[in-house]
Amino acid sequence: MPLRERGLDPISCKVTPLSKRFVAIVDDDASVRQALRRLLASAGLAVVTFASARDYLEAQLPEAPGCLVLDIHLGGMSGFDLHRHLEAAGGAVPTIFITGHDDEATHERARRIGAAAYLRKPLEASMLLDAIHAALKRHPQS
Amino acid sequence: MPTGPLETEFFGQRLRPPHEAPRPVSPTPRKAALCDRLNLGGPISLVLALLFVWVATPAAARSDRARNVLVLYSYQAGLPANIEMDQAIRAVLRSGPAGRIELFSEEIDVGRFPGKRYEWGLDDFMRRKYGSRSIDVIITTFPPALEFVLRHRTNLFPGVPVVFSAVEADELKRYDPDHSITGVTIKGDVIRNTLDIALGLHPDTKEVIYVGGTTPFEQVWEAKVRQLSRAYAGRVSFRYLSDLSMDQILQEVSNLPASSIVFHFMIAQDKTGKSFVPQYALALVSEASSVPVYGVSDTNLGHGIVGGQGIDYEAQGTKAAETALRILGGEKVENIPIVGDVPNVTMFDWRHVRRWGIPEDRLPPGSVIRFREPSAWERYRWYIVGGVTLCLVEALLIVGLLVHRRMRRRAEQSLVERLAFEELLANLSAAFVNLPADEIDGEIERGLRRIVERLGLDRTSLSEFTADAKSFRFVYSWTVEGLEPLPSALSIESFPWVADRLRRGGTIRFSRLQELPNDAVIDRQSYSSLGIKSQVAIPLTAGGSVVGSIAFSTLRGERSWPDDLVPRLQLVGEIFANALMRKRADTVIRESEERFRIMADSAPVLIWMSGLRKEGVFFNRPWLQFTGKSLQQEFGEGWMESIHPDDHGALEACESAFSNREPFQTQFRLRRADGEYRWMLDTGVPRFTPDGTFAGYIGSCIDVTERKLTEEALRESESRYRHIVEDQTELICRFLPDGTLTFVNETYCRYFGGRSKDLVGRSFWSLIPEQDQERGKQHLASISLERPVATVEHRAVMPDGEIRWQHWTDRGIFDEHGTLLGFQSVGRDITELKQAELALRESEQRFRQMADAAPVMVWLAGLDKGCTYFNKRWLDFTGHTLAQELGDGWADGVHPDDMERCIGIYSRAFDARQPFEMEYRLRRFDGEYRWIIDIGVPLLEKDGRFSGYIGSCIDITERKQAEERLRISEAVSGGILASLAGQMAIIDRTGVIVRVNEAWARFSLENGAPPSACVSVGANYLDACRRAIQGGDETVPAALAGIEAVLDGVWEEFVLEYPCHSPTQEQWYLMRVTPLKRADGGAVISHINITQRRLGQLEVERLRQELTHVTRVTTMGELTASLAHELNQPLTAIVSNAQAGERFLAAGSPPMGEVREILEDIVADGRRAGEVIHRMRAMLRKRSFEFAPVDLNEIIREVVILTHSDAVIRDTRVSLELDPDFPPVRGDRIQLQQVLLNLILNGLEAMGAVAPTDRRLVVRTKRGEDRTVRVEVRDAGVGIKEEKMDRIFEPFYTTKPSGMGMGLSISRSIVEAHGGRIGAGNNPDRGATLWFTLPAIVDSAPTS
Repeated sequence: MPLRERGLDPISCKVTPLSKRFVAIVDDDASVRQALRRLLASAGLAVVTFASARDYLEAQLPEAPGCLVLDIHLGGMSGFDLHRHLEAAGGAVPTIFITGHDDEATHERARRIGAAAYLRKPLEASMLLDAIHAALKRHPQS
Repeated sequence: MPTGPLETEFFGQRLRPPHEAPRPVSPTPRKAALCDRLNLGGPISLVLALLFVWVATPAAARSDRARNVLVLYSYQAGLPANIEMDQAIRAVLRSGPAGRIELFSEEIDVGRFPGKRYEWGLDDFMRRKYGSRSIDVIITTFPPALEFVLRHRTNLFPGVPVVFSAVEADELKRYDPDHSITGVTIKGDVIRNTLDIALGLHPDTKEVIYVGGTTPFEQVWEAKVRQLSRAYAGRVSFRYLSDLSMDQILQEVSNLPASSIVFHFMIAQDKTGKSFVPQYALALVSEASSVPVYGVSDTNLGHGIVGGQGIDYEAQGTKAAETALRILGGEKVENIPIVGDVPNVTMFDWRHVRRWGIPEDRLPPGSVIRFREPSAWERYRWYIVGGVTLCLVEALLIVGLLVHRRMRRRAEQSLVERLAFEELLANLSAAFVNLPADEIDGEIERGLRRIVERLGLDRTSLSEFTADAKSFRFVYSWTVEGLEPLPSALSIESFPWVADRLRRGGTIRFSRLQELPNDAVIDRQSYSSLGIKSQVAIPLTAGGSVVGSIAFSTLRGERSWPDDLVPRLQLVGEIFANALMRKRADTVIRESEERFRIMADSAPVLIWMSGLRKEGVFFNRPWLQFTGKSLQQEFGEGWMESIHPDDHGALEACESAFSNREPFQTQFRLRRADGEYRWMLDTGVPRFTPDGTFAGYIGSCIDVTERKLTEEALRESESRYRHIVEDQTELICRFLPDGTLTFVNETYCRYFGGRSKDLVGRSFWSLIPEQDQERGKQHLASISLERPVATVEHRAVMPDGEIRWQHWTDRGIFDEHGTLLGFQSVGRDITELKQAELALRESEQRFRQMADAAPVMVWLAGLDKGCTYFNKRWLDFTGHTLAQELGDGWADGVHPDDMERCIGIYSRAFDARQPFEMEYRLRRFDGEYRWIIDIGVPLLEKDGRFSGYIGSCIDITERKQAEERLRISEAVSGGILASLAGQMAIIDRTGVIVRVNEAWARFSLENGAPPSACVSVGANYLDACRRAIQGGDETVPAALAGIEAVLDGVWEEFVLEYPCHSPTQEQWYLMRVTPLKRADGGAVISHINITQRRLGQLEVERLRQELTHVTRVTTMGELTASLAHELNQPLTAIVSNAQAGERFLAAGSPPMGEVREILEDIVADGRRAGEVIHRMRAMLRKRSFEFAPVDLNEIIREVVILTHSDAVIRDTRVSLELDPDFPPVRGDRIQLQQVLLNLILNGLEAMGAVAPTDRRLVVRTKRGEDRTVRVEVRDAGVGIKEEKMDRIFEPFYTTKPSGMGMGLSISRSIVEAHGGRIGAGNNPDRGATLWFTLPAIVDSAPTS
């Protein structure tokens, strides 16, 4: 399957040197991805977007992102699944969960597994950017 | 209920077809087993038995028939030993004084073909061939034939003396412990002597090379040589070339050092299994050998050995034949000593003696030198003498010499041919001896062809005389290609001389047509017209008569037929004739004898068959069971041993009938297996073969002992009567020897109605009917001085013409010289007595006949309650003898459980002189207890005097079983009827109710009557229906029509559902009318209350309606949930885009292109949101979820019920694999129902294109990971294309033309709203599985 359709943004990869701290976004809605990428770019953050958890894993990024903005309800592997997978593989990344279906159980679960933040859609830009910055700070790359 | 199959099995075991006849009675189990064993062979043993008819013929019959001598050769035809012995035996027997001797010989070849299979085939063959002949002496040559005879003598040739020959004295001990055989032995060890002679002639020999074949015979001899070689240890060594092929042997012997000699034993077969004519093999060896070859000289001399010692076969044959002659002359075998002094001969082949340069003077003294090339004088002396004597010129002599040389060459040529032909013959005879009957045809054809090819002939044919003796029919014929084949038959009229000659057993042989005699003119013409130029025709004999011929002809040229060829062709004819006869016998016997045997063995009487000389040839199974003897024991005169010695006369009386071929009847006593002699009524009739030849007698015997006993009893009563009438007034007369009355008393006058003076002086003979006169005269003649008184009974004619019986006591009156003067006679009338006696006899006989013929078992009891008579049928049934059953003996057969009851009934009835009837089990001959109904009535004499009981019994086992079966069947059907909840009635053809079940009977009581069920047994249901119609019931006309249609056979079944509401309750009924499958017709009507079912259907209907409602409602609800999600995405994008824009703008120098794009995207997402809202607008409605713990399994069950009709419509099997230990989840019941409904309907729809048999939907629940539960809906449909996998849960995405594309999307919304996940995947085999997981409520989980 062509990369573009899978949502990997080759341009972002090119212009944003990966050695710099970058943020990965995983959301199955193309509009949301595009909007979030712009928002983060406006804050000077390097961004890589993925349409699904599988795409993220298959991309095999040479280094882990500084922060992962992850939609919980993805087709196929869910956001929680991806998080657990990364944790299990020893590549835990500070993760900001975003969801359109807010409920207590999901929130609780996100909290339990140590999410960096848990944000409801539509997202408040300041909250998101604060959460990203907080995450990047809290987990400086060693 | 398992009674069905059980019942069947029970009856299957017990029931016996009524026509099956009881098996013949076997006296005891042991004997029965013996009989079985004897009959093991079935048809074969019978065939053997029928053919194997050897009877020691009475001495008187011997003198006028030819004496038969059978010579059995151990080895194949053509062996020089056989030929020499054959010639010697023939020579002696021909000259013998014992009258005409017929010689039969068989090269049975058991030496080359050891083994049971061949032996039994041979046994069979011998039986068939010699079965109809009495063999008087058997001569055997070599041990194998003797062993065969000794093994089979008891069966094949019982009591036939055996003369052996060519057997070593040492070996003899093995066979003849009791000196029941005699013969000629071999003197000394010819092998050892031969070796000694050879070593004497070649003293430098270091190694003896043994050459021999691989047949058992050859192996035995090799072993002997090996044993013998030990004696030469240290002097010479032995090497054995038996384990090689012929080629290898020849190779070996061609390179032997000079210090060796060859000892050639015999090669009939080499290591590779190739067969050889031994002489031919020897010639090969001898020719190849680099050293002299020695061997036993008797068979080998002349074929390549230098010499050796040998058995003198001529002497062996001569002595054996002489011994046979002594036996034929009447000497007893045991008195004839074994001939042991037949010397061996030492012989040399002059040619080979010369070849190896052995001086003649070194040959052992007494040696015979053969094949010496004659000296000129020896060879030509007759020519010289002739030349001298007749003054022939020398030229003539030369001509003679040339002719002689040509003749010699011809002789040599013919020898080679002869050897080859003999090999062919040997193969043929070996092939035929063991050939199955069905292969004979092909083998004969093949054989004929090979002979013709071997001899270079043009045609061969095997013909038989047709039954009308008018033509030769060709059974086989073979003509070389290019020549006209023979017609299928030729008229005998065209070959009168040939036919006549063949019939007399003569051989036809002509090399040219001119050789045919003058009285064969017609034949010559016929030959000529057939194109035959030369021929040998040999008669084929079977069973002592000529049945046809085998002919060998040339058509393309004339041919000479050497003398030595003819006997060989005769042998061919014999082989083929035997084979042919064997085949015919096989076919005929298989068909007719088998039929006969079955018939005879199943007949309830004893059946026997005799041959031409009154010898027994067949006895059926009942006979053998009766006498307890085997067929072999009964054969011939064996059966006579079972006849009472006093009754042999009765048999002799049949002799004249036998010679006149007339039927006869006689009585004699036959010893039964238990030793008791039983009276037999024997009826014999002559039997004839299909062509009308007398073949003996067939007869049957019936046990008439009981009848005989009755007759005895009668005789006793007769004499009692006589005493009673003794005091009547006597008739007294005196008369002269010629019958002239000299005195009559008053009574006499009165009796004969005349006056004294009229009677005196007349002869009384005129008063006596002719048929009694002879007896009367004999009676008077028997009176003598020594025996002066005698009695007679005869009839006399009364004056009124009446014939009356008198009993006379006559006393002879003699004078002092002993001369008979006259008689004094005292008589009395015994007519009444006689009549009573006759009447009694007749009535007794009638009774017995009736009783024996009656299809019931009959018994009689006397005054003491003991039984006095049982008819044949009873005895047949119980398998006991009358003696065993008499008195209380019969009670032994009564079943122990029935005994007491029976005795009670019998005794009570007996004492009261009342008829009785009882049923009990009686043991049949085969041990099976059978139910018997026994009806007894008191027997009253004419004067009313009670004289016992007569009873008859019938086997009612079948009836009992049928009754039992009926009873069970009744019980079963009754039980079934009673157990039915519905109301059931059985009506007959006319509609009258014949039976109802309890529910029917109860119904009217409990329910107030439904219109159709208020009638009971005896009432006419159809009439009831008609009345109901008049009453205005609307459903009944249809019911009536249906019942009538079923009764008339128009419909196979009629079903009607009808409402029948009671005042308090709505009710529905189902009426079903099924025809009764029986000749009398009728039908079963059932009414079943289907109210529950109806209500159930209504409930389902209601549920479905509810579902429709629920579906609609939940669709709205889910739309809301879905809407939240669908709108959230564009909103998120809009908000984020807008905020990004804000931030760009706030940065001061906004990238305008980026901002434009942001604005465009915001517009697009805004429209997208609007579109979503637009599509759902009509359905938008607010609904709140009610979360509560729910059991998913239960929801699944509910939904499966709801979708049941969908599954049915789609022909799909839905199965549940639910985890019974499934934790509850928290959720909205209706919404979860909706999810399952969607998934299941999706699965059902996915299988539309799949074959109905494969449509299977599985709903499974199981615990998932991480405290979740998992529900899977697995279909067997076409699966989901990979690229669509991610999209199927998107809203408005559908692959179905009719779908809205919301179902799975809504499901996803609901599941996600419940904190769960939904997904899909293709199955490894086929179809897809849609699944969702939900968090489970577990004890440790936090509750919200």
